Amino acid sequence: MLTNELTDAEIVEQSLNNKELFAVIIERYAERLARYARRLGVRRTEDVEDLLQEVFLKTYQNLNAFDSTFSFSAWIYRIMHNETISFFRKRSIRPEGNMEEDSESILALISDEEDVLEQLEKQSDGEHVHRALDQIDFKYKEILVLRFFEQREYAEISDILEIPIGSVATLIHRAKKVLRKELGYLAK
Amino acid sequence: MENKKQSHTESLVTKTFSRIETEHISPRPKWEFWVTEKAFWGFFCISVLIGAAAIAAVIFTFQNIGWKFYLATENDFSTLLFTSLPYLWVGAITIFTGIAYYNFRHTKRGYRHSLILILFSSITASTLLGILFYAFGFGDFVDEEIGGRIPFHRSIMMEERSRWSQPLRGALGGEVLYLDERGDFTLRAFDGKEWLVDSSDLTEDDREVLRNHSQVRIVGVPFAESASSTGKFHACFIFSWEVVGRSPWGPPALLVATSAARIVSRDNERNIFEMRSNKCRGVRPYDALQKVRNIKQTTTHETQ
Repeated sequence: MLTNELTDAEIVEQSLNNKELFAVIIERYAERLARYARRLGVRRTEDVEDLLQEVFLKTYQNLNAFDSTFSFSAWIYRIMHNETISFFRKRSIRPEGNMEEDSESILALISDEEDVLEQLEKQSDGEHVHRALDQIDFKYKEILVLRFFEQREYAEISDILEIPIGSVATLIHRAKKVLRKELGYLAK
Repeated sequence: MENKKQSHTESLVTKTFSRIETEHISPRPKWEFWVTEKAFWGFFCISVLIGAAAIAAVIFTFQNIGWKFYLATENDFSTLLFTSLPYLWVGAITIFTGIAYYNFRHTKRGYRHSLILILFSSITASTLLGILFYAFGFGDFVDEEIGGRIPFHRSIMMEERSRWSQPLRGALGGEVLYLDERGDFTLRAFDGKEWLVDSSDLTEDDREVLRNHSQVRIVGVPFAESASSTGKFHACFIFSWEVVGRSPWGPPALLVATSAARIVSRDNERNIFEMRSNKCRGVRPYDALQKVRNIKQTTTHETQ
């Protein structure tokens, strides 16, 4: 069977006996995870690369902790998320967004609330949204990134952030409100 | 662009595998995760059990506070409440509910449940188990045997014994050692001191209590101190000393030297509605206690 046809869970299982197969995991997730880190606010390319290395090493070390009843994608995102948080803590820096390529996602995904859409339509691009996302609390930013940029389902967000599904809905609702307020503030 | 990304990924694969080799990194064995998971569950269960034990002690405490007798033992109700509340056990319940939450939250799927649900489940489980523990007498064991070893904590029974070791205040408790033919008796108080108790003012109800209980609470008046080590006390009321939710593993009840059957009613025994002598008028909560007793008597007569 070609490795391309194997599921993540199957690769994880086989990697335990054949570590070379773990390269497939890296190939599948490196780019996505790097983009996620940048969206969370890791700006320097070297930092993103260092983070990715740490994440894949941790993933490899903890392969036996993976439970196949969970989504592997959510699991590795959780590791990335936790590593990114530690990175910010260690460096004591405020995360800054790097979402130039996401303008369309912003407009398409956040604008499911009419007033947000109206405000966004006033902008020629998503620049205000980027700035607003950088200004709001990180807990709101990360959930908006996961929901609207990474296009994650509520259950996956719950697994990545390790919070109850009910809290995901509440947090997204609150985050949108905060973002809307920030957008209004920036528009003035 | 695509080639650049490809080469980045390849470089990442090379670097990652190089570190795996040089740092001798290998997947942690499965049993480590299994043990960690079970440890969180184990600590969660232990916390719920400790919470249950604390709840059993709280129930035991509230069941054994001498609510009815606060007029005889304390200045006011708030003093009784302040000195009786089970602070240690309420603190233990709070702390161990927190520990239970922490451990449950760190199990594999713990994060999927809300704080309120976890706390509610943990407290409910502790409460149900606590009621069960209490029913088997474990509340007494926890409060006396475990609580008794903790500095600054006084078990409710210690507190009650202390309240009924105030002869100058008219509150005396202990065990009946010997009853004479007249109905007077010798009492060994909780502090070990022996008292000769004059029963001339006791009613049939008081004697009934003496007949049925070896440990009693006496409200009365002490005689002036004599030179002997045995004190003298004039009894006005006798109430039973009952421990609700007694532990089967607790200290054995002191042996009663005198059979209850040996209590002899006096020929001139006081009628239940008859007023007691003037000696008892000096007893501070006399009116209140008389009222409690009269209500009880009236009810008994009505049923007859």
